Amino acid sequence: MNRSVESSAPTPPPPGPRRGYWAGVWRQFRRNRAAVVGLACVMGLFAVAFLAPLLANRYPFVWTASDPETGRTVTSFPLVRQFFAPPEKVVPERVLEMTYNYLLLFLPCAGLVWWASSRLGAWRQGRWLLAPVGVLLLLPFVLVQPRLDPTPYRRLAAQDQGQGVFPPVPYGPFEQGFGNRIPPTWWDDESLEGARDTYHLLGTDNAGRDVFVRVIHGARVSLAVGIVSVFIATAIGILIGATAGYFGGCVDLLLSRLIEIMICFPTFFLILTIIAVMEQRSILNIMLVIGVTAWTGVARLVRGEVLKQRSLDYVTASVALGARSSRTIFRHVLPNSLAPVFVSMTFGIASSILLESGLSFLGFGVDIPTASWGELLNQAREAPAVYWWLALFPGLPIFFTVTIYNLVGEGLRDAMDPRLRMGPAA
Amino acid sequence: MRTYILTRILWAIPTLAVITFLCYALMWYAPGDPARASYLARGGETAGTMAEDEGLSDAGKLFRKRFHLDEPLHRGYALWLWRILSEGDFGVSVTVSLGTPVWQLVAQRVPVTLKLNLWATAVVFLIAVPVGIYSAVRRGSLLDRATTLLFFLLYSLPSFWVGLMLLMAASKFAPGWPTSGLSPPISGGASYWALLLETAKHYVLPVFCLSYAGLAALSRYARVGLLEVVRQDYIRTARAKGCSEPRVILKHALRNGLIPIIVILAGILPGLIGGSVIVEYLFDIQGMGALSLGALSSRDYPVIMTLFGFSAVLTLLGILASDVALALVDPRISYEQKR
Repeated sequence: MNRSVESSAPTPPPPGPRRGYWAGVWRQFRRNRAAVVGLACVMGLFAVAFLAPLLANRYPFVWTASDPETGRTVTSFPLVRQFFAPPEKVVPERVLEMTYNYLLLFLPCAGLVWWASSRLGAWRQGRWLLAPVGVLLLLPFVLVQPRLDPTPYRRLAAQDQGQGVFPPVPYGPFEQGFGNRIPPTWWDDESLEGARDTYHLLGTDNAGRDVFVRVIHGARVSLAVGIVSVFIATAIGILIGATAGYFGGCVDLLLSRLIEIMICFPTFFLILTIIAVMEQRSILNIMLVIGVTAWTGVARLVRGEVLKQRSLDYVTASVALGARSSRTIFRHVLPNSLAPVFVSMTFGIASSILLESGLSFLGFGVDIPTASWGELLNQAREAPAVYWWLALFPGLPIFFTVTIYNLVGEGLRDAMDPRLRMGPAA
Repeated sequence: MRTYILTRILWAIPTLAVITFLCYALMWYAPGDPARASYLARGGETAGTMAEDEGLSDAGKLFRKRFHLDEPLHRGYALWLWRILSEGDFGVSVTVSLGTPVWQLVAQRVPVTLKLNLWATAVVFLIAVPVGIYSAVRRGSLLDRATTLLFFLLYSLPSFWVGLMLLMAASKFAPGWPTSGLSPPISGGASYWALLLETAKHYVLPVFCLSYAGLAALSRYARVGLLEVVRQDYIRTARAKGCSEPRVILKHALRNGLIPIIVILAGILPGLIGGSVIVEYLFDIQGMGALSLGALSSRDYPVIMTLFGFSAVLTLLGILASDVALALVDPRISYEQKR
């Protein structure tokens, strides 16, 4: 997924063994205007998620202030420091955050390496550069010391005690104290007692945090949950589906029963149960649980494809040559049967984003201070008509994200196999 | 047919055993228990697993004894299962409603959820199937494209958001509209029809919320299923022999075209428990969803386990029902020969 995000260049048939096939798929895909728009929107969304700390943060990029003792002008980079600083407490949410930050640096560099070396016609040699580049970019994350920075830069700037270049939205995702549940500033200015020097595009939530900032940062959670859980589900699904399809007989019978039961089992209830039983709320649990419960579609697809491939001559040839079953499956059969899996992965991302926000809405979501779209919606539940900005705005990005993923999925499905017609996320 | 059903039922038994065992194991390994959950409220220490004995209140000890959590896993499971099978004893609720037998709680809640879900299912089928048929028959027409787009968008709408929007709109534009519960408060003097109307009003929003996504999915299934069938030779034959168009579609195409829908029916039964959690939460409906949510958030393990086992049974019943229905509808499926 990440590769397809950064290689948004005009000719992105990704480098792979079946260039011809993917080029054909891409040509078909491009004809579907809605799907292309969807893909562009997905990339835009990823851009927002990656850039979130640079778009909305309480720390300025550059800060110049005169030292009160010496009188000299001192320049510092608070945002850069926060960007690299490792978490004080290692919890999955913070690790995810750092991963995003790292990828924000690494992906453009990797893209550059790819672009330059394929320009020189030496991608095969150039890709070895990726490892040192990756390690090099890891350095600042290791070297910068964690430090709590409570300096009220915005207020200092307002009092002319220093100058700073602030992000477009100068509030942090965990920054409190703007007043609880203030409606959007443009909506009803008179209701606020006294003059406010802060502007809240989408109002504030019940802990006095800026909703707009939390919506932006919430994109990180949603996209990560979508992708990671789908990767887990796909891995399990491929393993089970391929095993069932390849070995057949008794194994197939048992695994098919398992798949059947998992399909009909109320997934949402199952996920709720597992999460409720776990002591610690964390994003990792959610990813795992969604992944562990969502593999049935992939398993069925792969099983069907493998069943089809199994009777072909090349499989017999591989077995006759003495290859182990695992080698035959993973090296020969699977590469030929994975195409429909990509389609179901796209729909899967959409539905796991929906699931995650549903869980957060019920209060079974990510660990508490982390921003999530569903959690914001939950705050409106008591009185949706009163806290209408909390009810309305966080839902829009969920709807938008799910729609564009479904659009891309439909486009991909039509481009890959015009005969394959199934409902989204089926 | 009878042997087929019997084999399927026999097959269901080991599956059920596995599921309930997993369920018991989940509870056996789970950190924290109701006794500790009430600790949590008092700000006490919550670390550690159930295997540890210290710091447990008497209620906790009783609970562990009752569910044999102090026994080894396999033994505890056997004892627990035996008690259910022999005495029909599912235990009593620990936190949701202290001391009430679980089966009683479930029996109270099932009708509520059943009514809600039946209405939603009825709405889905009554609207989605005709729309699906229409769009398949008049493929590419304006209405087909419009409904396809509309359903596509509906499918992506999160139901909790739609629910919030409905609540918001209701209190803004129709202040008297009921937004919580499924039945009006009992008041003397109201006529039967007024009461009926009031009850119907209670149903509108939750049923809409519960059905719109299924609407989208089902009409797509119906459309795609029918589109596959309409291309077949026997449809051309039917037309060629002079059948009227409605007869071709309703009599010949529909029977085969709707077979995929029967498979969907399998999901309706287990959906009774997990399907309406969000809607019941939103509209304050005291059904199975609300019960499970309450039990889950306060670690009421007896209730959770009963619901879990219950939904496993419903799942297997759903699969069984849809298989039997498939065999009845589709003469090509004949199970006796296969075995």
